[in-house]
Amino acid sequence: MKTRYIILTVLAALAFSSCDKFLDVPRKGVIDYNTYYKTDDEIESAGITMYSDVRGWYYNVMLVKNIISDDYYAGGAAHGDNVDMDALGEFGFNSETGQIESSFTGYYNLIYHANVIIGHIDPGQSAAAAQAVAEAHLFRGWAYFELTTLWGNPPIVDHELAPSEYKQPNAATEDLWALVESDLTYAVNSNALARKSSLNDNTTWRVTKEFGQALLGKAYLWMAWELGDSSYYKKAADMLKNVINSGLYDLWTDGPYGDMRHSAYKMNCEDLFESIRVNDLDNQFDNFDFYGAMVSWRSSGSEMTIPAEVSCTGGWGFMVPTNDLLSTFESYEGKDSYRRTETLKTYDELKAMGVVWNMNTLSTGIFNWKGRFMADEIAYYAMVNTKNPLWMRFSEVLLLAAEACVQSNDSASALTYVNRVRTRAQLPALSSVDLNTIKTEKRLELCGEGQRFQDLLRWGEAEARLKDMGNVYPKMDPNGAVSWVPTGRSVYGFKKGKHEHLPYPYTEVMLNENVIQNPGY
Amino acid sequence: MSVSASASNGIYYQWENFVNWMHQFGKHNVSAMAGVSFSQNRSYSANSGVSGSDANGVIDFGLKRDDPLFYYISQATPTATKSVGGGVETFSYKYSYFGRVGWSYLNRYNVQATFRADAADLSILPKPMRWGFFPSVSAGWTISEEKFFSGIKNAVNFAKLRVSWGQNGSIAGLGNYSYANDIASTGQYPTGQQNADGSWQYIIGYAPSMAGNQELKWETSEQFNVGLDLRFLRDRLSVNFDWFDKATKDLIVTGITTSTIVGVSASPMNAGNVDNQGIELELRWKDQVGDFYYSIAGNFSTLRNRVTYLHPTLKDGLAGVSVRNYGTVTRFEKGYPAWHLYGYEFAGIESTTGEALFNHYDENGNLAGTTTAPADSDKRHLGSGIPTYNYGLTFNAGWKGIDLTLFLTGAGGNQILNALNNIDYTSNRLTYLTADRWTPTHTNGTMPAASASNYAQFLTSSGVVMDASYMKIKQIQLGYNLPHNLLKKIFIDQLRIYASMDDWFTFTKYPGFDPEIIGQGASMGVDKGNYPTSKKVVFGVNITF
Repeated sequence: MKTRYIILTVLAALAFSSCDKFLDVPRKGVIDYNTYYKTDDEIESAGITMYSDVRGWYYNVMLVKNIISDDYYAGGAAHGDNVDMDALGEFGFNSETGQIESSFTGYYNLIYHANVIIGHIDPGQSAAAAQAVAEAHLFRGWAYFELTTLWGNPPIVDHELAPSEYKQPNAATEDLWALVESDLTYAVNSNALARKSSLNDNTTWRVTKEFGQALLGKAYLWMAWELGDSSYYKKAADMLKNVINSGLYDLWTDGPYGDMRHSAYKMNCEDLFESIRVNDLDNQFDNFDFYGAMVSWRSSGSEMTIPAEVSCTGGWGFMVPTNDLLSTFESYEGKDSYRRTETLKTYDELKAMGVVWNMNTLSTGIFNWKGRFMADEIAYYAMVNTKNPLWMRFSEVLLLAAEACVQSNDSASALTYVNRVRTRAQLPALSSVDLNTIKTEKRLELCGEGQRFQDLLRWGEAEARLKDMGNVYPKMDPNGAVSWVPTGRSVYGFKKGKHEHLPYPYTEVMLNENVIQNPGY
Repeated sequence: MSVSASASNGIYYQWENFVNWMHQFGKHNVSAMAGVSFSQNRSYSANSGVSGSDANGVIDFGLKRDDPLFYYISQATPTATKSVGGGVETFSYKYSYFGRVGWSYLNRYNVQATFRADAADLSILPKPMRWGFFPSVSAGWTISEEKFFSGIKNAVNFAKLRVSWGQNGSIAGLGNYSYANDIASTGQYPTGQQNADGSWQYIIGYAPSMAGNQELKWETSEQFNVGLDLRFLRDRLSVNFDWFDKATKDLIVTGITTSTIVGVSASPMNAGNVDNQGIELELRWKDQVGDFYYSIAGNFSTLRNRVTYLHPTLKDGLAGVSVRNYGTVTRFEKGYPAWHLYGYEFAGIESTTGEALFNHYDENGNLAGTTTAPADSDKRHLGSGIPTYNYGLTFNAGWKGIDLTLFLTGAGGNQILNALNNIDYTSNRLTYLTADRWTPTHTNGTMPAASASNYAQFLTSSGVVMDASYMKIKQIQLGYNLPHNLLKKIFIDQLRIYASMDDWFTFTKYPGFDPEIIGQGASMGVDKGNYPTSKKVVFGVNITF
């Protein structure tokens, strides 16, 4: 009897006494977040995510900023070809316009990666760590400059958010600028950022101290305006002069002005920061990006026949220059000036180069020439290209500095800087300079480089310049005759009180009750 | 061509023990059961392959000879490109305790209670959340067994009342540590510099791939059911009636977007609770008159689906599916059916321009005219892809060897947002949208002009939300059984020939392909052109030897 109980007890123990340690299956092939970011290699791998993020911005950010300016129409095969682009160009965009949403989330993806670095890496542990943390501050400050100038009061996310912190509210303007200033100041003063070794150093691919200074100087210019504190003009001028006087940057003159963005001249002496693409046949699709296809002249449907030495074929013809841009060139520089003919080409000029039009296109008869994509820079209908996306070049630094100098009673420096830009543009030197001259100079020098919309807002000219955008669009027949077609929109153009800011993504407003949508959206 | 080989093996074992106990005293029956179950599933696979060309660039598949006797990876040349994969041993485990107690008295009353405790392994849920506990109880009362019932037993020969309540757990296809935030590659970035051999230098980026969710837990579905079964006139008429309330708690949703400012993808989360309420009624009549027999059965059910709770990290709801880049059209939102349709309210067209007009609401939510440029706050509930009622009817009849079946089914109360149209395609447009559209010569049309600048908003508005009620005759079948005495001679037991029309007739106002074939989950009620059910005519012969 006793034995029977023992056997029963042992059986019961076996049967019911499993333990759940078996369930702790370890995960294989991944790295634990808590123990990562220790070695210099790991730190570098964290930093590189931000470079990839920025390169990923280009398509959305550059197109949004250019198309909502007075320099470009949306373009495309026909009106309605791309709903988002039409909405941007005609001020019909809303909180679900994909490219605005993608720009917004692109900035916050980078901010997340920057916060991961700032939160997990001790800058004192090695030189690589100090550099990664300084770069994270620079990139985050830059992202907040863009977010603040485009959306107004975006939420501040300065650390990795726990689920309970996901609903960050709109931030105050002062707090946003304070964050931009402190991040960029940290980066500039860290002594940990890369610097070019000489004027002609074309291998420094990282963000540099001078790029940080240029961003900080640029931010001061906006702070002077938005915070209504003119003392920032002097700070802007001083900060930008650091870059100008470093001797590490100069205007590029090794070839025709319109070719300065060609892949043959990557990281030239004028470039403050550009994202890197390489012509690596083993990794071609690393360079997949619609930007080249979008902005190249419309020829993917045989609309145009383009000789290989003129430009690439296969483009989709978005970002069509406005007549206003061309006429501003002509009234400011005279007809057929060097900089105009190196920035824009007219129908007749291209025809003389052997370009043939085969059917009606959505065009003003004006074509982008500066920064055009050449056949040797593209593959697969320009969807894969090897041009480095450019974020800032020295002529922008000179013109930002000129504006800051004019506003802080240093006309002599302003004149020097403007004349440097004009001389390279083969224009006669001026003997005096005022704010209006700088505005026009900046529009013409930097058109198509994503500056104009934010400038118009800051200068208070957006409504006047943009109120009729979206009324009509251009159509050109194969002989170059342009007619204007109504877009059919009953509401179009820049509306005061609404378009000073872009809309927050619909998803954000729906998920986060603490974010108040900008007025009018 | 290449040569590859792979090997995989899996071992599954389950260790399950339970004890049963039953006892009868008087007219009472009691039983109890308790058990434990543990299972392990190990899978392991590895693969390898070769391909290549010889020193002169001739493709030789990396093999020593082009001969079937050499088509093995062990015959690879030294210069062949060799690939290997797999080699990771993966384990998954399940571990549960379960038990049951029951009691019954005569055949009249019975009560049963069950209990389960299930544990998920670490690849599914975080350790503190691994256990789920799921009880259930049910009771039945067979009224027709009661003495007081005997008086009407000729008319009502069976009656039973049922009540049940219970919970079930689900891990909704989770796996692969989807709640964890581990470091993963974000891709490579070139430095623009080349190595000595001409190859380009890259640095590979690493960052957390997901935000992580250490609070992820079991999804529980809780069902309460009251039912009544009745059979009349010696089983010729039967009636079943059920009322149910099924609540899914802590619904696990993967691939969701949290606030975009978080900057990283969200891990799966227990997003909310969904409640389904309804009734089910089934009636069946069968009878035989001489050689003629027939039966007719009908069912009808209603469903009220509502989201009753949302996780606090989600404000108004989850955004669902988008119609191209025109906008999101479904939402998971408290107080509405799961993934209901949501968008602008189409309010006709502007006769001067052909632009679409939409209802506009002021800041207090009051209707304030119409606009061609609607704002976020103008979006409203537009309907739901979930039918509020379903019904079916089956009719069978036979006479001597001939039999006839008719089966129909239907649903109603649901809407479909028709997302077949694409602004920049000029072909295959629904005439629903084009036949009466605005043109310069037809300014009193009811649909927007093809060139309307807000056509994208129109395609996400109530203008393309359509009534999706339908009734389908799923089958009409006529058959004939050849007489038995004829078949005996050729050693065939039974031979039936039949002709059938399947899915042939659909009665609906919906102008798209098929109101029955629409999306699941977040795509519910959005018709993006899923392949419709095909109509079939079937002729057949069934032979039994």
